[in-house]
Amino acid sequence: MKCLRIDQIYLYLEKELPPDEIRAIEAHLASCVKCQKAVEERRILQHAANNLPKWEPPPDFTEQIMSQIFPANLSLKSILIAISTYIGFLSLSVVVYFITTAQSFSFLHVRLLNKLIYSGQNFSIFVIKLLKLAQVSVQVILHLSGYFLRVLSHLTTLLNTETYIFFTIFTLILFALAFLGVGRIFFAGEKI
Amino acid sequence: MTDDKTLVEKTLKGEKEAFEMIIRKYQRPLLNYIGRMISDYQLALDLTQEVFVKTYHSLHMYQPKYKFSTWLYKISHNHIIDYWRKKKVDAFSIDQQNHITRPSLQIPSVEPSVMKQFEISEIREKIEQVLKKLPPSLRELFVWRHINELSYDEIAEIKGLPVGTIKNRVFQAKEMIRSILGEAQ
Ligand SMILES: [Zn+2]
Repeated sequence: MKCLRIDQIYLYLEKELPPDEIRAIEAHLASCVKCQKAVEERRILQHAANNLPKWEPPPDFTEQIMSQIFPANLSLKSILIAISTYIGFLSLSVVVYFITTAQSFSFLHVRLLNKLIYSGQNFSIFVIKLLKLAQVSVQVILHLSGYFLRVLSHLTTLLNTETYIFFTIFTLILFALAFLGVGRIFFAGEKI
Repeated sequence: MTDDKTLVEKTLKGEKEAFEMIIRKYQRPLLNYIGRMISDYQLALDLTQEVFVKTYHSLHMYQPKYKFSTWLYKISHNHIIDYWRKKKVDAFSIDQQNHITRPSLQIPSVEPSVMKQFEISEIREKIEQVLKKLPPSLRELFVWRHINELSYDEIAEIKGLPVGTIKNRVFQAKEMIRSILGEAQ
């Protein structure tokens, strides 16, 4: 057998040759130093090439891709996040309102109680009114929340959760500013 | 484990979980292929993600007579070319082999021993560096063969070329790596 060709060496190293050809090559290698060296040289390269380090994707890579293909439906988690953001901002704006207008909470209590209980009506009418109010507000809340959730679930098919939380917060900030009467704060000297 | 074609059918019937299994199975191979082609981890993540989105939306065009993995690599290959075209990189060189000179098949009478002087870890590091200098068409074949561990038949199916041609080009790629390593001495 003549000396090995380079393509033969690689195929031999990759075990991509028929058995009889492998036997012929091995017989030649036993007696030819030049081919031995050439094979050894490529064996090292071949071994290194087969053991190159693999790149690892981040652990949540599959989820990232899935959420891009299938935009998240309105999950319980995102509803809870939205509701807690609302409550948080509402209470924050109430607190800020009382601080900036220098009113006290106890003052509010007194005023509310005065209005509701001591405005000339008797206590039973107050209770009936309260029940009626509760009934109406439950209906309104149920009606609105159904509508609200439908709009939200429609929105979330277009937007991802982050965008939608951002918009919620943005709306709430606007709401809080309006609630505080930002205009009044900026016009110094005007009595609140 | 469910085979690819069943997973594709299930995905087409609306089972998201089936496509999730496809992603889990192929995210590493595709990231490694695309990553080695463009030499940028972060960008490779983005392109891999885009390939899966593209695959999902063209799943109805998949023909089961081909291997699913081969089809996926074809989509990835086209996506890399699109990316290079947008970046105004010479995208066509990946599909043109003309400029690659055929190396001699004979062992030269005096052959420098390039590999023996390095530690195996050193060689791996050097291959990674040299890989960036290979013509994209050869780099791609090397990556498919040695990093993605595809068979010559699979590579031939992706490229639509005879197996013999693929074998020759993969060994050309390795000889080129050897000679670039030798020049650096
Ligand atoms: Zn010989």
